[in-house]
Amino acid sequence: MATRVIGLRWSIASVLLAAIATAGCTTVPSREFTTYKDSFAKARAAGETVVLDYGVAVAQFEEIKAKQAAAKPAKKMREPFDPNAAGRNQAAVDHILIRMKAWEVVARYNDLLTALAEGKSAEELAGAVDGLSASLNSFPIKDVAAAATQVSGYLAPLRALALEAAKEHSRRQFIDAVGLGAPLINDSFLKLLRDETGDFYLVRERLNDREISALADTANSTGTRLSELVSAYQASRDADAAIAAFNADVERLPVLRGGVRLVFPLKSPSQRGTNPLTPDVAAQIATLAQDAKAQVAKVMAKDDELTAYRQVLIAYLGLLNQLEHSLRGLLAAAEQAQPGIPQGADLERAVILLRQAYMAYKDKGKD
Amino acid sequence: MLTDAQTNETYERAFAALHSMANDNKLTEEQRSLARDERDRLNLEYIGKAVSGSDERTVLFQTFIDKMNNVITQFAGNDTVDGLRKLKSVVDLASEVLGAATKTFAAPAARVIKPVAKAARRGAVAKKTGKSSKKAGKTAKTSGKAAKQGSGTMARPSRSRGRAAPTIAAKAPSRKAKRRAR
Repeated sequence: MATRVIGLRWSIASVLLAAIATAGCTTVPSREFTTYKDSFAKARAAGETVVLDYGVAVAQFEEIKAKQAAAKPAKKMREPFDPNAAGRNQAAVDHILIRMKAWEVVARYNDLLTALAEGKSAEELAGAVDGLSASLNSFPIKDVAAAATQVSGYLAPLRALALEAAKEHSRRQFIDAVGLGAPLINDSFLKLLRDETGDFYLVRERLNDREISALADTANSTGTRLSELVSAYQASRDADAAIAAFNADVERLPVLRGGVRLVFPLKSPSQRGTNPLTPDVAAQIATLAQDAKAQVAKVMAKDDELTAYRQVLIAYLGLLNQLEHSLRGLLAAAEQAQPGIPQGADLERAVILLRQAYMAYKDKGKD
Repeated sequence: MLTDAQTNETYERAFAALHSMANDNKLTEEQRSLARDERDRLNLEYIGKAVSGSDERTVLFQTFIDKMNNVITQFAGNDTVDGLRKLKSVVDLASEVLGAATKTFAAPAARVIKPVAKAARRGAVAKKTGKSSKKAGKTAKTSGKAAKQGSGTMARPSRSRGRAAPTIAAKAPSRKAKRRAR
């Protein structure tokens, strides 16, 4: 009798599992999901670096403003009271933090997708059923423990059904969550990030304008002094070579809008002095030429800095494109993963089979 | 209204012109200094514009965060998932209750029931002999009280009654008494 009952329990479990399997199972597009998560991790790391760098640029701007305000204190004037403006000022927004939070919320969404793909809630449920079964078996009252043996017989197929149903539900939730979240990320978040790179570059470019023009002013001033010194003495090969070297360096520098040069090339002096070049003056010319070379190199380095930042943004945009591409791939795969039979009908069918199996089990018990 | 591209171009032209003036040797030092100040002021103003453009985008980021949070809540707090959670909590609760019941049944059975049973047995012996029944009854009552007080009190009985109980209970009826009873 006992072996017959055990055999029947196993057959119930196998019937249920077979029913679930034939009812149409959803598959999580795990390959596409892994690609998407990898792309996201890379894009997030790059995105956070870019945002933090922008924060540094804004802090630089605020510092310049503060210094300027301290250098030229404005005349104290009575201002009209604007409650809206006052309210806005009090509720200071941390723009950088909100951008970091935007990355964080997508990371949490990814965690949710991972949990759904792995069917974590189903595992928790199965664990709880197992715990209940163990507690019943160790109950100190004989009748309860005896009943537990019988209950365990029903719990086994019920556990299998509940676990599979919960997993299947979780997989479908994954598909639905991708369908809702992916367009939001693609059309809103990634678009905002792309648009923002333009502003980030603009802020860095303008700050660079400020620094590069100050460096160029110094180089121009040195060039002027060099030119004045050379023109005060008789022509010499060393002096002409110094001016030619300065002009060659200047040629490599970028030009501003309208072809305006950052550092102006030196013209060959039309009129020269009558005094011959002394060793002291020659040394002064050499020192000035060296200083000018170093200053032009600084201007060049500042320009290279902006070019490097541009490259960072280009690489970052490439990662954003990859992220979008992988997310579109995941969305397309998720849309294809939808089973043909509606989910409610599947579960209903499985539950009916369970009832039938249970009734058959009870009838067999009467025999 | 100027487009962003037009605004940038205007800025760049103005900046280049002012830079050119700031380094023009034909102008006086005062004029050059003035041109430098204007160039820097213009630059700062445009940085401010770019920063405020980015700040305006913060609102859109916040909107995105809210929408994503809604999606997360929708799936984390889904009806079916909630149902599963409730089912899990019921099962967990049942396990806890069973676990607690297992402990309460198992723990006193070892410590409390035994002395009471002994005392009861002694009571039965006393009834049979017809003597020392009062003492035996007292012992049973004392042990019963101690048992009610819990396992802690059993381990450390009170001075007035509890301490006497084990000594009396330890005295089994002597052979003489048994013979007399016969």
